[in-house]
Amino acid sequence: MIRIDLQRRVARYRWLGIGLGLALAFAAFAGALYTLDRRVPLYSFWNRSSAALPAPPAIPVAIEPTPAIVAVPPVTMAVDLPVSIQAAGGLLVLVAQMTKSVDVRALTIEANGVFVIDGQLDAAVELIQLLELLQPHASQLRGTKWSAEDSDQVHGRITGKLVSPAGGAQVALVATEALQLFAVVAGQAAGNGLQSVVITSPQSTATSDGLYVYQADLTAVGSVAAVASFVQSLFVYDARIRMGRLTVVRSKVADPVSHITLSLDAVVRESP
Amino acid sequence: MYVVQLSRREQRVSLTRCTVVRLERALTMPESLADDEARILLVEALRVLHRGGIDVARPYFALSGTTCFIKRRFVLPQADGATREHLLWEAGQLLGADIDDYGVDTLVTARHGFFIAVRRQILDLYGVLCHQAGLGKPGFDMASFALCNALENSGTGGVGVEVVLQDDGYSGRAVLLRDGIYEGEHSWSLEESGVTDGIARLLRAELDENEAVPRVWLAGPGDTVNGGAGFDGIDHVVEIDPFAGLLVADSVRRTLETARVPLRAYTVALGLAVRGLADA
Repeated sequence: MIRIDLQRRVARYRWLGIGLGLALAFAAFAGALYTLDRRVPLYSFWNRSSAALPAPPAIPVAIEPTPAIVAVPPVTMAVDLPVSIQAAGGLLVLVAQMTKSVDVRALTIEANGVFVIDGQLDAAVELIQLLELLQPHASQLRGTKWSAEDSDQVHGRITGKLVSPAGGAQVALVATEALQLFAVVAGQAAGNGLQSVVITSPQSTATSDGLYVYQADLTAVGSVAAVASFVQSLFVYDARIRMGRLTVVRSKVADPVSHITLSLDAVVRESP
Repeated sequence: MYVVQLSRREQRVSLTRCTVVRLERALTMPESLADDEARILLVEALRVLHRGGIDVARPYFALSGTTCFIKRRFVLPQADGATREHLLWEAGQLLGADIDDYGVDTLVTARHGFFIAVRRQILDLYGVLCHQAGLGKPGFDMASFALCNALENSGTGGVGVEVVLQDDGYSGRAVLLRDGIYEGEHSWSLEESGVTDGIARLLRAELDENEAVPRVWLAGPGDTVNGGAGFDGIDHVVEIDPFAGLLVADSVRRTLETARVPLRAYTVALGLAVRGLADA
């Protein structure tokens, strides 16, 4: 019979080792002090020295006025970090709510959190209402709308940036975990109403700190609501995978569904 | 959720209860443990079991999925202790500063050494689940090891190269055994690839070209391999009877006969129960 015990704490041995090491170091230091004290009476030597030394003279210090705070321009990172699932999911839920008033034709969320929503607006809806709806999850919001001279259709475009796109720290995984996670994500996509789900084998890229980024692209077909539901279902994996880029596009206006491409990143501690 | 309860009296092991609990919606384990709503469903399911007479000192859960893994390394000949130390060192190298976040143990066989790691957070979440359901402290085993233990307990297999195939209906797991000893495994989503492809991938990775698999044991509730059709080059496909050799109470036997659940569906649960009895 195979019997393993996964509840055993390996760390106990590590703490035991650290404790033992500290105790040995303290004993060696105390031993050295004792040996030195036998040759030179350190306590009395210290007392004599401290009594013989004159008190240091007071040095006048000129207090300079505090310089005015100068605004520092924001630092732009050379490489965009992938977006956290939570950050993107929050926006997608709102976009799914917007579909009553906007016929979303294209939606992209970039790795740096910048997003663009294109669509046809309901004539009764004011753009400002949509911007207010998105406000909790977005900053730098801009909206514009236009219509062709010979048409009543109103088109709109909203751009913005996700609030806190990077989210919390990303956990480095073992390669097996990452591969299984990508497979689970594909299963979640199908389970949330997306169709024709395909996920590519992950491509790995070494990072400067000895880790690897595994990137897999998921393609599927479905509605904006299904995408929102799918991304929400990934919240539990937020510390382990990030979104590189999401595009939701309808190739034809009459298409009932959109084509979805989602690139997912996981940080892995092993070489492939 | 498949549940098996065993009891032992004077070295005789008997099957006292077995049942299936169907949840309102499909849950992905162990991720769902972190979801409050899903955990409420699971707690309710465990309470239903408790009310239904399943009363165990320590429930055992099968671990699989994204938060645990098994890594294979070489063995040092004639030195099990040194091999274990080496495997723990390898685990430390792989997990680095995160090792405290994992529960780690080793398995040493005649041909290979394995280290097994699971995120401690998952074990804690199972603990919370059992506490909320009013059950004792949980025990754990890897799903693949539970399959091996169930096969061994049924008194079958153990000769040459064999594959145990667990088909859950949505995921597949193929475990390779050599003379009854665990050698390796492969798991995959059935939406991603079929059962035949999954087994073929394991065999390509693990076997020499001239080696053949004489027998595949079927486990799990899925019916993608119903009747054993669809295995190229494997003639002998057998469903595991996990309860073979056990004393089975009449009431349980009647339940098994009337339920529309194949016996092989209980294989992992039986493997866990056997492990629980061994630990008791």
